[in-house]
Amino acid sequence: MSVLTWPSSLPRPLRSGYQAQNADPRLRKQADAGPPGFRRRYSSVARGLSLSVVLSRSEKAQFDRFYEQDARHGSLPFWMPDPVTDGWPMLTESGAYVLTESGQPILLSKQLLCLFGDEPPVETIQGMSFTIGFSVWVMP
Amino acid sequence: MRRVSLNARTAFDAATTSEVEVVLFQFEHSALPAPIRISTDPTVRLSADPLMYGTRSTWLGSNPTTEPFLFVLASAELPGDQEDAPPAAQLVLENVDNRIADQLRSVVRRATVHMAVVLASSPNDVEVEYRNLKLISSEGDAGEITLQVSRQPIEEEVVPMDRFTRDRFPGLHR
Repeated sequence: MSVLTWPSSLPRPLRSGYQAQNADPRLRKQADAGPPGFRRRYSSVARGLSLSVVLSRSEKAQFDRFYEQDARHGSLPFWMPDPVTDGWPMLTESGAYVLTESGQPILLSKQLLCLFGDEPPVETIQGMSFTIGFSVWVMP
Repeated sequence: MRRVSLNARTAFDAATTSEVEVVLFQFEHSALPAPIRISTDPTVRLSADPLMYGTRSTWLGSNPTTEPFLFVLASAELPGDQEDAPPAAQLVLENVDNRIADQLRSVVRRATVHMAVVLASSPNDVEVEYRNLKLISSEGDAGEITLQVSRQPIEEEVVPMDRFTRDRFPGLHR
């Protein structure tokens, strides 16, 4: 069995619904008074991503099939392109594109090993398209 | 004397530290084809398919590449030094699979357990080590399984060791 891959035909996530937060690997030292202190509890830290995508009716069917059948209602891990890195052009320090010899911008590439997040995906309808909000855990 | 590395000692005393203490376990039993190695910290990802985490350490001569200590959902308590009681360690496993109970019930003789504490940043340097403990008991419910690890109970030793037979102690039977 191989690890699943995020359907490449689905569109990129929206900027508006994007949110990322690391899991907290710390142990808090609670005191009656004074500043707080922290220690580490474990090494590898997962990262939570909230994403939303706008899908047509046929793309929604692909998403549902991936979530319900391929990922077994979100219990299996899958590879997903990093929404804030993969496909973004590589820039120099001053913000100019790094180009190939033929003048094409060089794009970054990064795959994340993900699990679906704590809440199942939420879908809403708007006109003829569906907005699906879902969260994933990026595995360390 | 117990030797503790300078990094570990600094981390124990520091108000804030990024060092993570990891407990490594090695279970040995004649019914096992290979020792079971487990760790309490997901230090590195060992493989993506299946998704596994663990700690790579050379403790007890294990090969860090092929014999890593696998991360389990567990909490561990090191052997204490209470009075009037043998030092006992506890390992609480999440009961994620019925086969854990099957495995624990299938053996008659006690397994040998080795424990060590290492820092996640230097998994080859052993800070504290407890060797040749025995897996004394295991009890659990649907949620979790508690393993008691301690020394071989001295109450089970036969006293006196010798039987006073005619062959062994002829003077008694004159």
